[in-house]
Amino acid sequence: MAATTKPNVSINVHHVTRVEGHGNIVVDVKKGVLEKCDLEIVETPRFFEAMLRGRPYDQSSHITSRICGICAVGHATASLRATETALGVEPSEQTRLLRQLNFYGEILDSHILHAYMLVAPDFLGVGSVIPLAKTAPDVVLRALRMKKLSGDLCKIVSGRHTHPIAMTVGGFTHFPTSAELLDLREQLEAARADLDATVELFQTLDFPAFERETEYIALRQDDEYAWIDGVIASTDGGTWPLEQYRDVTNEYMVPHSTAKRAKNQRESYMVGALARFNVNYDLLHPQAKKAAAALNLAPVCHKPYMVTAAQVVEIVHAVEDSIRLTDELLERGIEWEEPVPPSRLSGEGVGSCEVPRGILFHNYNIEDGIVVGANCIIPTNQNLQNIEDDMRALVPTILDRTKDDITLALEMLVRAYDPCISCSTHLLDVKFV
Amino acid sequence: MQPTTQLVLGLGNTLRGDDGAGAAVIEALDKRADVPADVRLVDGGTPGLETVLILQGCARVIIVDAAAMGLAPGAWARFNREDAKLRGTYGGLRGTLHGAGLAEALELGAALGILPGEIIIYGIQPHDVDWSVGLSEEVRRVLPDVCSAIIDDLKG
Repeated sequence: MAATTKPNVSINVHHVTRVEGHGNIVVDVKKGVLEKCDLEIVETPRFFEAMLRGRPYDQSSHITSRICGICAVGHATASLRATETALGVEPSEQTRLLRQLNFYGEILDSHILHAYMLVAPDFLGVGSVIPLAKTAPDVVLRALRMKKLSGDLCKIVSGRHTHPIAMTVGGFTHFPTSAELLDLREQLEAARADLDATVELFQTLDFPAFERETEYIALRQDDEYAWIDGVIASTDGGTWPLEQYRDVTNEYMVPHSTAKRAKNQRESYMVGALARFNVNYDLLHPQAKKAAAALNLAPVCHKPYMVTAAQVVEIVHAVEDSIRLTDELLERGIEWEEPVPPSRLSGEGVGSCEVPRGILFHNYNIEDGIVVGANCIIPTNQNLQNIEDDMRALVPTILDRTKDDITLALEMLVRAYDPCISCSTHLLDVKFV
Repeated sequence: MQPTTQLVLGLGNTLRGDDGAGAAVIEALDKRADVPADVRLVDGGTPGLETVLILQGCARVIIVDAAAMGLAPGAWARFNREDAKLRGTYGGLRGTLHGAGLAEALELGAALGILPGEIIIYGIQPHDVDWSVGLSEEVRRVLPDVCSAIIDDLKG
């Protein structure tokens, strides 16, 4: 189809579908020149950081887990690590193992939802999961089955499908039985067949090859693929201890967005599954590395549409490592441990986790057991400028397409990042003029 | 093989006043001696897409939930699925899936072809769905009648 080489294109996607939360894509091209390319976050601010002030230290994780229904475990875990660092609490090995297993439940739940129900429909030529259910019901049933297993995992370990009520400062208030862990292990093993089918399906999807050199930021540990704790690492080089997170995030406001932006060694950076893959590839489970090879994903990958492929790799890793953890817990035998008490009631701490969408920071100041200050930096915030920079680089290369096709390419780009917009709009500074 | 199980599924959030009506009906049915043997009683909590998996394999499901029907508090009604106007959340399954509810679960189930042959929905008009535990007097008063009507359906 012939088109003018210097077209005018005006795109305004109000409330992008198949992402969590509300965001608009606004693109304006005049005579082939990109004049405007904005990702507008229009979600209302939610004031969680202010909500924590004045609350007793042991409520923070329960309050912040309500920031989100899909990353509730992630927020709770980062919150607990911040509080424990501030108040001198060293969790036991059993607590560490249980928290990691619980964490995998959420990674699986979120990645499966995103890959199967938010991204796959675009590639399979359908508008949503409903027509997909009609043309490929076994695919959708598989996704639901895997999601259910993830939720059941969280319920066994932390007491609920969503909002990990049994997790507390210093440990747990409730523990899984051996019978529950054995049953879980059986289900995880059975899920391997679903994993193979998942890799096979996503092998058939034609991920756009758009590439833009990007800085990737993720947690790094010496001997395991990092999810909870570690140092901040960058593919551009450099590591930072968690206490220096602000040196990495450098948050700032933009006029067209209720969510803040971030930048480090370039104008923007990416966090999330692809960032983790790029930073920690060497520490992936062998089965996960096989899946990466099958999906033509190798580090360091600078193709944003490949985030979904990285998520599939992480789904494989999460199931395999969950089997390992369950075995270890069964061999040790679960002990009903009391939570470790704080060694002091005042202090400052930073907790960090790699939640499904990327690196999350919770930073608390606690005085005499009461939270007096809180700062939460959300992965989606950190990605927003990178998404916009990607869009800005992508649009000029696809101006020869129809407006509908350009729009779809941009929507798919935003969707690839798996943004959690409700999480990212948690603060607004109000200036009265 | 024809599925033979009957399911009564109570939905709703017990932390939100009369939205706990569904769970209360399940609890009340559980105490009754006249519930047929092939019936499964499930407190489904707040529904999501996975709710559709609970329905799979049943011949008949009866769903009980608080429902905004524009009636007086405590009034209740029985619907066949086709007659019930279930409003989707957040633009349904074409919007975001992070807020999927009963309407979306049923739509997905229909598309997958796994819905039970018979779906009956009981709606109970709430007095209050604010942040409190416990039912209003108007809703508590009608629970025995709702239970009896459900048992009639299960025996029919």
